[in-house]
Amino acid sequence: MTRKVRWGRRNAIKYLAGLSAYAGAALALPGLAAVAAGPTGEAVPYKDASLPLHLRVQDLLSRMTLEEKIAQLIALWATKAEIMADATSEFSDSKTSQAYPAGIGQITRPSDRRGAPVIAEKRWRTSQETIRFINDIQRWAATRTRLGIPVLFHEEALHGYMAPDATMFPAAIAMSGSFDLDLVREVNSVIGREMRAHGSHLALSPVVDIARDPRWGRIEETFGEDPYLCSEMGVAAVTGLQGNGRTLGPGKVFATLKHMTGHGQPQSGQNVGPAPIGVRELRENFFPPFREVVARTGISSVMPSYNEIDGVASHANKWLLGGVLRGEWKFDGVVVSDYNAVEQLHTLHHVVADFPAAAIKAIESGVDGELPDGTAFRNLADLVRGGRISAGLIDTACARMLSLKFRAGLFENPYADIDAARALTGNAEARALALRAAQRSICLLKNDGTLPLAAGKHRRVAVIGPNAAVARLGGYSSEPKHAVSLLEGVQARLAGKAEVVHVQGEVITRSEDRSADEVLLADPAKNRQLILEAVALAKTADVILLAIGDTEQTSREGYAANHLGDRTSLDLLGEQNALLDALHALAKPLVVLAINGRPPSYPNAVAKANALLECWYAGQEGGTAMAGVLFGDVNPGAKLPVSVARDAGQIPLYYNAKAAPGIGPRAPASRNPSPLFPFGFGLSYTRFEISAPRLSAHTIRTTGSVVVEVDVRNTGPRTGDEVVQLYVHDPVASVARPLKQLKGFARVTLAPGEQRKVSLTLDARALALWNAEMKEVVEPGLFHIMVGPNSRDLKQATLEVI
Amino acid sequence: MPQMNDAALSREFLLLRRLAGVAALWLAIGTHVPLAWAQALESPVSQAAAPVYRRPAALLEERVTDLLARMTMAEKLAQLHSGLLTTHRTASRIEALQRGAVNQTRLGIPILFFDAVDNGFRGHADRRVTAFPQAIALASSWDPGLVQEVYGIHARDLRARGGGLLLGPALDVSRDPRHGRVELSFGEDPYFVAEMGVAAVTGLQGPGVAGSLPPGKVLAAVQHLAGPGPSDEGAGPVPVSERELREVYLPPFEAVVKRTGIQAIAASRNEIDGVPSHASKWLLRDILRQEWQFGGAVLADQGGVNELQSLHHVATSVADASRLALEAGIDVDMSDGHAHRKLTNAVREGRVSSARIDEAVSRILRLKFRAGLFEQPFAEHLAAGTLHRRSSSRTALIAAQRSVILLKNDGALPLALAATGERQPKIAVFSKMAVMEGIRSRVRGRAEVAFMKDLRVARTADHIVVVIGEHGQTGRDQEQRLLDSLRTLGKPIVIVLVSGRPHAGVKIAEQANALVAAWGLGEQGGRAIADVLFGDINPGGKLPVTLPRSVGQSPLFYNVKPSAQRGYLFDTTEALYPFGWGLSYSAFELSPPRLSAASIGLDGSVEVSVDVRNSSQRAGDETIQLYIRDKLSSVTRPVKELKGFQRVSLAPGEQRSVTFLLNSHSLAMWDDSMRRVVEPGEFDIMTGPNSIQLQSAKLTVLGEVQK
Repeated sequence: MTRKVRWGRRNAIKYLAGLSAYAGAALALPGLAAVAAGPTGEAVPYKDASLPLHLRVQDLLSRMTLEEKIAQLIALWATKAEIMADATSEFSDSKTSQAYPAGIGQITRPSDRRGAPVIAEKRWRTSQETIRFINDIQRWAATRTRLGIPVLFHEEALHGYMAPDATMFPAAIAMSGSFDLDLVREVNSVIGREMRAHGSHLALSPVVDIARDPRWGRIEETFGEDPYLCSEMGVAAVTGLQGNGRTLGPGKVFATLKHMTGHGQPQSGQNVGPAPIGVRELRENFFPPFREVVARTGISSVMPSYNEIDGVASHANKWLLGGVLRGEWKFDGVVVSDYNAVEQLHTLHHVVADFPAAAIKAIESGVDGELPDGTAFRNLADLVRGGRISAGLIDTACARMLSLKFRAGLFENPYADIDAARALTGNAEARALALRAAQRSICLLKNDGTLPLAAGKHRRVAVIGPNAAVARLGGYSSEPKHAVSLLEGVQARLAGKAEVVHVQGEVITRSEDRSADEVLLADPAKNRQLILEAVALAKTADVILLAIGDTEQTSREGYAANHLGDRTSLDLLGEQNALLDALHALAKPLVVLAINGRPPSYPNAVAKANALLECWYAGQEGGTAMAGVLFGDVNPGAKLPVSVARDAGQIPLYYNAKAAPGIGPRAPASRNPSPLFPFGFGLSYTRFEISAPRLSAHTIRTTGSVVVEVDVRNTGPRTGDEVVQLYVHDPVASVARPLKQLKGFARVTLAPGEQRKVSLTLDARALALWNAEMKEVVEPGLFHIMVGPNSRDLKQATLEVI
Repeated sequence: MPQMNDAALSREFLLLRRLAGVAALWLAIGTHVPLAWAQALESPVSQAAAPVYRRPAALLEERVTDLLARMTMAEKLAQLHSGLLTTHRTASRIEALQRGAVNQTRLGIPILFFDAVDNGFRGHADRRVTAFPQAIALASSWDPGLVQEVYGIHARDLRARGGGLLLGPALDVSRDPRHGRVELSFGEDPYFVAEMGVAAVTGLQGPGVAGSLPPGKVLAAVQHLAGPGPSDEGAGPVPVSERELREVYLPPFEAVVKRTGIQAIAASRNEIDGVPSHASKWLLRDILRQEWQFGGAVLADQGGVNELQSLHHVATSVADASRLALEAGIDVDMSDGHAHRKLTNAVREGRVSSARIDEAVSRILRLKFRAGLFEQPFAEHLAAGTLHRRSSSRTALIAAQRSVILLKNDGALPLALAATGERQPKIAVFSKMAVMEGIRSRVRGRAEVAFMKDLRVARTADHIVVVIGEHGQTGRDQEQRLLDSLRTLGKPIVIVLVSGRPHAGVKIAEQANALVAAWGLGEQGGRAIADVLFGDINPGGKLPVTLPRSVGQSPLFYNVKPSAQRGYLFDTTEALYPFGWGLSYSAFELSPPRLSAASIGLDGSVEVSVDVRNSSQRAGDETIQLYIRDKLSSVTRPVKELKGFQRVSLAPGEQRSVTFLLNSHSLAMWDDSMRRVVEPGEFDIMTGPNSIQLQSAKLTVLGEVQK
């Protein structure tokens, strides 16, 4: 082979030197030394960390059998059963060697016990069990497989590493509302290090879907409705998880961009529903977050969406994955399937006759790895041998998967250390960050002056509501070391200062088991009884804190027809409005805390509350953060990352719509097209004045940029945060343009009386559109540059582009 | 000339002057106006030296070429902005204008007057014309023959008023009841809308695909290419993708272009994926003219050109909008030419090619020649005033009767009347308008009919009939309160929905013992409903749209892709009443479908037969519906698609075999390379009385997948 000839003496020396560098690790982990050399004892290039990536990949690939290559393209989830000792959840060398002689590419969610015997109340492995499981597998891969290719473990990590003891941060939609990119980066950095400490290297996060339907139960997983905000949040999250560059540093994990695309506007609000979205709409709204992240980070992995776009399922979409993602954007990482989505080409979309055909379709369209079990891809060896798919396609996909493993440093050290993981996971620093994240994500939507409360002023504080005494973490969460409910947060805050009393007043669902398929609302008669109790208690109180909203059951990922999560009505479920009405009738100060993952389309609550806080699922420290906001220790400064509809009849409702007779300035008053709360909206305990925007130049070229300056002044009595938002509008263009588009923002903290100049740079690129020939161009002409505290209350300047 | 006041006279004068191209001429080349005007008016065409364009025997294209060659640019532009005028004028003024155009302009080019079909012209109308059921109601008849007949009367009525072109029917596929005016559409299914559209156009223009209009016929201008539904205010943006457009929104237009002699199509006011239809070369040229080979004229919708500037902001001025629209393929501006009048400068500055002007003008002239206006520019039968009232009203009654849909019936309907000597049943009716009248005139002493002003009337009644929707959305709360209290009486309640939109609610459906959907049935609606309530007519209408249970299900339509409708928490994806639904006082038994061949080739066709038997004691109508599903395809296909329907009347005990033909057109789809193909494989062939109660057979299409 020519490669052997090229493998010169210099490289061999380098290789040996590199080997001795981790001799310590090898000693600690018996078995490694045995595979430091190739099967026949000679040094092998692919194990040489000093060689360029592509050479290592090339070398390794050239040594692999077809079966070994295909092993890299699949994962094990339910099939973890095949690698565990009978009747235990422990890894078994012998069973594994029997079942997977060609090695294992990827393991799905090592922290869950899927595949192991079911034990009630035990869904997860402990930290220690997970690490042992992973290290056992890696050791097996290193010592018991022919080429010693390490295994890639992936985990969910949407707002926390989804495994026991890990820190649970606020839901993505909440984090987005912070409008704080550094915070999102830091949070993801902690998520990444907790996950990495447990031996996993690939996070299935973040979600950068544009969310345009609040009926859709996955809206909580998104950064909201705006392409620019989702782009920036996506870049921050990926940078936090992966770090900069293409290889993983210590404590870093690879990120996966989900779900490309159209997932966030499913037909009729039902999960995985079709997205018959036009090409320009895709390019202008749904693509940007993916494109920006690919352009600005070393993103390793992209996951196509379950849905079809215009008749073509994303896992079978050559144009999307090949033409756009890899072609136009030059993405060179891996495309991993969403769970069971390759199978669904057959079972749901009916575009292929069986699983083998699904595998062909997916791989030909650009899917490299099949999650969670590789059910369809397991047929690939037969398909290659049968001539139904070219071996070249397998090589390409395998090379990408291998490349990821090299970039992850897995060949150098695939192991995790329990002591390090223990020290890191859910530590004080992580808790403090979770608290700060919650504080900065809570959004004040209404306040007649009732908030902030002075601790001790109200002698008896009633904390009521179905979400008062439970720390709701939202979907994709596990069991953190601890979690603080609103009640606990208020009790701690008021200890010694006031009496805190509590009744629930309402039960939303009969069960709190979020994995349960069936969701049953609580018995209305019982709830009416609870409401009476709540009223009786509230009568004795001086102020009422009412925690309402959703549960992890009532809005969630509807991942199957028997596990639904989407809704037709956006308002409060069950008897929550009745509870609210009954408490409102007492004419006591009523503060409503919305705890949910779905935008608060609660017109009745908005009308009746003296103050309304949108807390979202605020993470494990949520209760403390809420108490801090209620009592003025924290001045809320978050904004809404979505438009809030009044009811389902307004859907789709998003601020960056194009002009339509119904929503333009000439719309008839009888048809209320305005949202309950506009995108970008959020109040503070202080007041701000924002000047009109000043432009550094009134005229720029199509390749130029302009600095937009605005003065923000805190005219109120408290230190607080304002998010200055920059929108643009192209008043005349060759194709119809949105009424406004977010193109910049900055969250600033100002002391009372303080004024600060905020400068936002606007590239002409931000003014680009996709013209009639579907070319991205900046068209000369006038542009409106608008600045303000939300998407509605804006001041304007005019920029000319020549 | 008929008498006119001064203001009207000067308006008409201006219009005529515009039409003569004089004002435009003045602007364009600065000719001395009085002289030109005088010349134009004083040179009536000499019949003796009849030029080619005046010879009826000459070929159409020869006449167009000849006339075009004689026209000045100003006269050409005049055709673009004022060549078509609405009939929203008195008959005498229409006649005066036409007389002016014919006799007092240089070339004597007649005006083509048009009107819109809107609820049987009721909006602006002349009382002498007949008010027919609205489009959605006519569609509910599932009877293309009836639709053709009704539109035939529309044609005759319009022709009698001096009109030569009817704006309509709307071929929009309406999938969302929130959108615009669903009542002006034929519903949610592309195939169904296409069939109704072809029938309506044939009714308006007469059969055949070319040549001139027969007497009593008018040209049709189908609308609105392409959008999600008719609307007063114009539609919102439609960010739909190409295949969706081709599979759902375009088929009715394509069918009408290919199967009728349609000569005019109006563009829609909405944008599609950022491009307003009035500025869409892709839609108006690539698809309409190149793919479909449409040779007629493309009309602007009212305001559609202006809105390129005022709504979509893709033009800097009205003049710019006009130029854009013209370039994209809009031939005539219908808003009395507000926008296209601004073309003069663009022409002078060379921003619009004269070839494009000639092309547009030729198309308008062709319309006028085809309409026979050069031979007969004036209203037919106007003097005689014979609008065949009696026969029209009879058709309107039949149309209304055939459009009524019985959505629910637990036996409460039909209502029994007393035989001679029996006690008269008491019927409490909540209705202010036509339905009350219809019931009163129907019972004639065989029942006591009382207007239900309060619950007391209902307490003593044997039957309760509540009409919902007469007052639009505003009256709904009151109506619901009434129903709630009536329900406590425990008496059978018959609810008649007369709203123009599919607005039945879950609660109403639950409260009704019998539920009748009657839409806007036109002038004979009250009588038709009474006929149904008392069983003189056995209802046979079917829903041309899905009735959702709540707005939160929107959009809800039956022909979804397989990945739609995973389901909702605490709610259902089921419709309140599905597409194609409608009951009868009879009962029918339908056999499973029988195929003439179990397998066919890619170009083959198959006959599908169903036996239908009236197993009841009453004569009645059933509409047998044929749906298909392509079980495996290169791109996703709907879980069912309507591909045939037949409404049949059966005597008690009668059985008949109904046969459908499915051909390659029925089985075609737009594949992953956006080619229209039939893909080999299995198809489910499903038949039944609605879109959910279906029996199935398997058809195999044999052949090679096209590469």
